[in-house]
Amino acid sequence: MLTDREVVSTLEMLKNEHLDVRAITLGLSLMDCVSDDIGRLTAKILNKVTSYAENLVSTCDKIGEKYGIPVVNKRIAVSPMSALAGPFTSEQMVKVAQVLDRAGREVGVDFVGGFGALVEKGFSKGDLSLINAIPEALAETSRVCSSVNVASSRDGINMDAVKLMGEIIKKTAALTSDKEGLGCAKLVVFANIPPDMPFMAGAYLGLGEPDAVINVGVSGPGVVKKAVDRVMAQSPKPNFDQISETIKRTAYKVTRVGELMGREVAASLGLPFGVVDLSLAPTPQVGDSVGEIFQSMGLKAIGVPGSTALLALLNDAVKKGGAFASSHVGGLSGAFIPVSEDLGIGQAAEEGYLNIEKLEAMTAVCSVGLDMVSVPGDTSAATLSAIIADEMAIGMINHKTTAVRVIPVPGKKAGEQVHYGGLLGWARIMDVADYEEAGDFIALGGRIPAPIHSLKN
Amino acid sequence: MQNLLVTIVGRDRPGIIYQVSRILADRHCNVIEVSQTTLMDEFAGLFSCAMPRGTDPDELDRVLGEALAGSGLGHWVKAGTIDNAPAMLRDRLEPYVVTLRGPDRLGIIPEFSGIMAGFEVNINNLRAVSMTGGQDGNSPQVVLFFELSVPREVKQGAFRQALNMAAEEMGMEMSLQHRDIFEAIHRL
Repeated sequence: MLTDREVVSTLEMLKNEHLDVRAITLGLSLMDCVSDDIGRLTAKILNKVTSYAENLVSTCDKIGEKYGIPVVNKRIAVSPMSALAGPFTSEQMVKVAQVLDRAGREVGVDFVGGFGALVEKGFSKGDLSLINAIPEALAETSRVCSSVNVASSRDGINMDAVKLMGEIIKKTAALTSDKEGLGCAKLVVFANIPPDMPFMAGAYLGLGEPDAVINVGVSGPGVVKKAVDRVMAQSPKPNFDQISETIKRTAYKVTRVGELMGREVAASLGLPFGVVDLSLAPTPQVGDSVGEIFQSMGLKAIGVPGSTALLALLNDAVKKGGAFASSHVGGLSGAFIPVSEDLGIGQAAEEGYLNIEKLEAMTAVCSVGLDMVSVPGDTSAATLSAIIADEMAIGMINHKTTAVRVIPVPGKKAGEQVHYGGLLGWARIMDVADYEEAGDFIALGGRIPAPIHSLKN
Repeated sequence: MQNLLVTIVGRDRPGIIYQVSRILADRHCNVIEVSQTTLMDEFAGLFSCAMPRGTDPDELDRVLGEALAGSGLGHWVKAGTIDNAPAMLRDRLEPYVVTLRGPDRLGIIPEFSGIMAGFEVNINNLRAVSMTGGQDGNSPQVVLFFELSVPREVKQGAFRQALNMAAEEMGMEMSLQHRDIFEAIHRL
């Protein structure tokens, strides 16, 4: 027999605390589509995606209705397309992106990730074809997302790739200048990219994964915030241990939803179940913010002193609770701090509590990196590369994933606002220390060697 | 094997279970399953027993009547048969939970239980809890929890729609969810 408390608290989480399954992503290998003929390659890609993903959206909706918990986003993540790009030019790779876009539209998903490359030690011909295709590919498609891994704890930082990606981000912004540089919102530069993340824009299917797999991304910053509010309202006030325990237990509950529904979607589609990514992924809705959790715990806003410590507690408690709730936890699994997608974080930046330097410090303890950071449109490619290099260094040395999703908004300056709309929200354009000396620094090129602790054998 | 179902209803007090189970044990009736509940100081219990051959249900009824006389407890004894049909049926049933929340009024339970009966859905457990709430915070509100067994053949969409329409008409919030989600979230 269920207790009243169990039923009511579950319904509260759904109706008032924004509990949902944020994403169910079909990871699909396209390695069997390999061809040296662009027509054959794109035909095979279209065929594989549309046949495997034909029932993805309807199955997710049916199971969402069964449990009364919506699956908000259905997505596809494919093999890194650079692996198939060897025989092709960048112009031809844009066509591949268009086919991925079309396939995504036909099956009804909102994003297709995987138009990316792994270049932590150097470039293959295919890598360069693909990377140089990114600006046009992202400008001409709406669903395709791109991620490029330029560093790892094992291999160091490919500074040539870091230089190139600064330039690619600028080009992507220029080609989407009519949409405030929105193309850059679909492009992420990574260190230590996980091969099984269900969230965009970084999702791709790593080599070593099965032919097809279902990965689930849950979320629930609103649920965590309400749990923190309840415990903070107690008398006497809780200490950090108790707050951490509360977050851990809440993360457990949220992850259980993803585990149950993800397994059922996988079983219905006859596919293996991969991982639950239990990231606290906010949206611009009120009550669905990671930033608001900081205020619940007594800080003035995210970004003031104490924020890094709090984020470390939050990130770790989420991982611990979620790890117990699922047989396989993967992806990023922790707390995101995207500036424009989170109402609390966006407001903190607007009101001057949060700057890019503090964000960078916090990325050392959160599960991603500099995410949805809007910077002045005239920021140089070299400075963007230097920002990327800093973030990659944090990831490489600390054996964690870090990433940069930065948008130089064409025609706009620091302090102005930019509105992307929908889930991508709005943001204040942040100040950046942009000096021309960055150009000579980034032009040095080569690799920052892997750290000594990479020698684990 | 003969099965007996003994129902006891009356004012709750310590010792009821002992009293009833002692009588049954003395008559070599083995209690296989018990379900009991209390509401507003009243007790209701169902005892399912396996009865040795030759036991006379009417005799047991008389003995219970004598033993419980003056205690304020009513009793009924019903003979039946244990068979495997319930286990087979259980395979074709899915557990769902309907929760209704809204202003208290006459007729909620007949309305919704009628819809459930119409879809051949069985109510395994029903609780209704009163509280104050609503927009002004002071109106009498009720929350009802129905734990259901829904046959697999039932068209989910139609069942959900029927419940939704009734809920709308009565100004209530309705949710229909598979029971597994509650267990997954709250139980290890």
